[in-house]
Amino acid sequence: MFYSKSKSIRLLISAGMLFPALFIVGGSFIAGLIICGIQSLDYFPLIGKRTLSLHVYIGIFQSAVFYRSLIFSLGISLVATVLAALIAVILALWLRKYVSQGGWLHFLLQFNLPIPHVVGAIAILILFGQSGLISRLAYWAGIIQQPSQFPIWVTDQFGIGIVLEYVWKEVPFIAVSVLSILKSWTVPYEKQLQLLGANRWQRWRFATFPFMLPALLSSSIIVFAYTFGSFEVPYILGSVSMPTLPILAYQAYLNPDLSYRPEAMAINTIITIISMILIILYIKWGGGYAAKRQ
Amino acid sequence: MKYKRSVAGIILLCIVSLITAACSGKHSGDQGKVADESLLSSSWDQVLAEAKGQTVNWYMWGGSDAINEFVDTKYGTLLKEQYNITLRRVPISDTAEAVNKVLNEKQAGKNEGGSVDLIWINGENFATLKQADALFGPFATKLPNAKYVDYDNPAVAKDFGLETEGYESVWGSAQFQFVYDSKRIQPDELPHNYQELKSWVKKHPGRFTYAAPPDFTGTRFVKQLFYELSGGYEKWSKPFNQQEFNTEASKAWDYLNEIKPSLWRDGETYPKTVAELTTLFNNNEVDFAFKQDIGGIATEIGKGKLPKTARPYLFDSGTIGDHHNVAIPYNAAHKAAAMVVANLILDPKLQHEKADPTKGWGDGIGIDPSRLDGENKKLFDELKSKTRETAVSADELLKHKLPDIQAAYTPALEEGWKNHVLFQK
Repeated sequence: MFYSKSKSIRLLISAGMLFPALFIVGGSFIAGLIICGIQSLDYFPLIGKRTLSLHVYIGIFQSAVFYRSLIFSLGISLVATVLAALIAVILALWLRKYVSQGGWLHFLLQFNLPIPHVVGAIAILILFGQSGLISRLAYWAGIIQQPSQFPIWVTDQFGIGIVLEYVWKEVPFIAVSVLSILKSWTVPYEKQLQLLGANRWQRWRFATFPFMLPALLSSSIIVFAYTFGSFEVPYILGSVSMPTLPILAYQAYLNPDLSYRPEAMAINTIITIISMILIILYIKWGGGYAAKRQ
Repeated sequence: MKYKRSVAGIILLCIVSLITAACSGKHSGDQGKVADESLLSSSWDQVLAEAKGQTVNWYMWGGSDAINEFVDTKYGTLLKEQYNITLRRVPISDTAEAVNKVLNEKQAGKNEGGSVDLIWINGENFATLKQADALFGPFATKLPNAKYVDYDNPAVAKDFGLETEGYESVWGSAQFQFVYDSKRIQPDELPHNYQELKSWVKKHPGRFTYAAPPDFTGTRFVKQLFYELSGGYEKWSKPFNQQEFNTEASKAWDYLNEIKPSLWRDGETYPKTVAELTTLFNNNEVDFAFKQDIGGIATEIGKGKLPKTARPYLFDSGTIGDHHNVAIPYNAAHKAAAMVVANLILDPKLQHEKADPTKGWGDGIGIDPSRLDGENKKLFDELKSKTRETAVSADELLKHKLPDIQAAYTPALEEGWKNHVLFQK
């Protein structure tokens, strides 16, 4: 009885059923976006600011710190995503042969998915810090005499620690989504190509890679967008003098002088816009490809 | 076509949700105001009666195990047993987080039933809440134990130069101290002012750093330098003047940039918090840590959080000391119980235990011991004579105590440090 022959009534019913969930998710999300956007335009009645102006954005787009931070954030996300994707593809290609042999491999691959990023970040800190576990082992083995002789891997100027954490955490995520495609979709096509006399490279070029690509792209875009907007990992593992954009926003937000609030919101708005662009790309490349194939 | 239409449907639903959500936020705060006034004018017994069975959400800096433990076990147990109040300590890394929570609720029109009942607060965060008119009060002088507090003392009545007017109640006091390891440095090698510190740092490259402002102690380190280079704190007791500030602050930036290449990791980064600085000190990566507790570092040594040979000391040019307070947000859900907590923590016995490094964490007292008599007075006299080498003596602390600067200078120093030192290549 929930289904009508009329398309428009069917649409209405499904829309009505979606309403409660959308009310909470969409409502609070969009309300947050709008409040953030308005505050970034200097509208802040709490301290008597009621006129809209763009001066915060103008200030931000003239600040060298902002550009340095933007480039640093983008760079970290790009390097982490590319590295994670590469390792994940290699891992997936290698593992596909063994997956049929039992669930334990799959389990091993996925074990770090439920671990929060904060925990991962602290683990990296404890392992790779200048007085971390590895440094202590090196001292014990007589390789170094002082903590400062250990290479700087965390809170460094290049974000090595941050990239390390992201790669560690995101490789399984990408690998799992690629692996599920490799397992179920490509095998018959590869067999077909083999029967037609295609060599290994040709099979990879015409079957494996094209099938893998949408899953790889869409999961990579998710990873990129996540790492770009993420706060906790660069907060723990980053250097104070090389803040990522979310950290710049957080610092402005925590400033007890309320006149810094619009700056925090403006940086958030910029992060949101960049993430939106990524979502559009995701729909175009990831989702779009899947829709076409169906 | 079908795809487009469902997208349009979803967007429409989102807009409807948004409008409904936006409309539900408003609520009149008048009722709350009346209840506040009746609470402030009622007798203490009435406050106790109202507080019964309530839960107090106390937002406080959670970076010290000794403090957390004392609050949970000591205060928590007493509140439950004596007043049937449940204490929920909410740890935060920066007081501004709690301040923002209150401000966000105020912006959303949540004028009653707010989630924060009590905040451990002082300085610029108090100024922010007062500026936004988001505090409950004046309640401090209404507390029965306020009779032990010397509100005629400007150090108590003012917070970073701002009159407290009973909108926050004192809890304890602190003073900045340096910590060194007597096994690593001989006492006669110690620098005793910022000029000596500079030559020490240059002689020992990589062995000194400070917590990056806006960390509380890091900001203090910079403030004291600012005092010393600008010719003393007396100059800065007047309202904020940008131009004068810039001229004098540039001396501090020059100093900090000069020692930067000789700092830990060449000054390319700094520890984010004083806890990180202490870790560096413990790992023998740097030679100095900072401390705020007037009772010294015996608690940390006892718990193995500092080496047994660690010792605190002061600069001759003085260090900043101040009182720390608790405040109740204007929309707190459990104001009566929060008042009971604010009163309890002023109890002379508890103040004494908190100040005793073996029982509490060596925090400075918030009450005035000269107002006590009998048994209580004896306790504090004993505490005074108990000072050992793990603490700077009370007289020494008092002699070198500098007041904190007007609230407006703190963000200016923090911003200035970021722009002129941290991001300066």
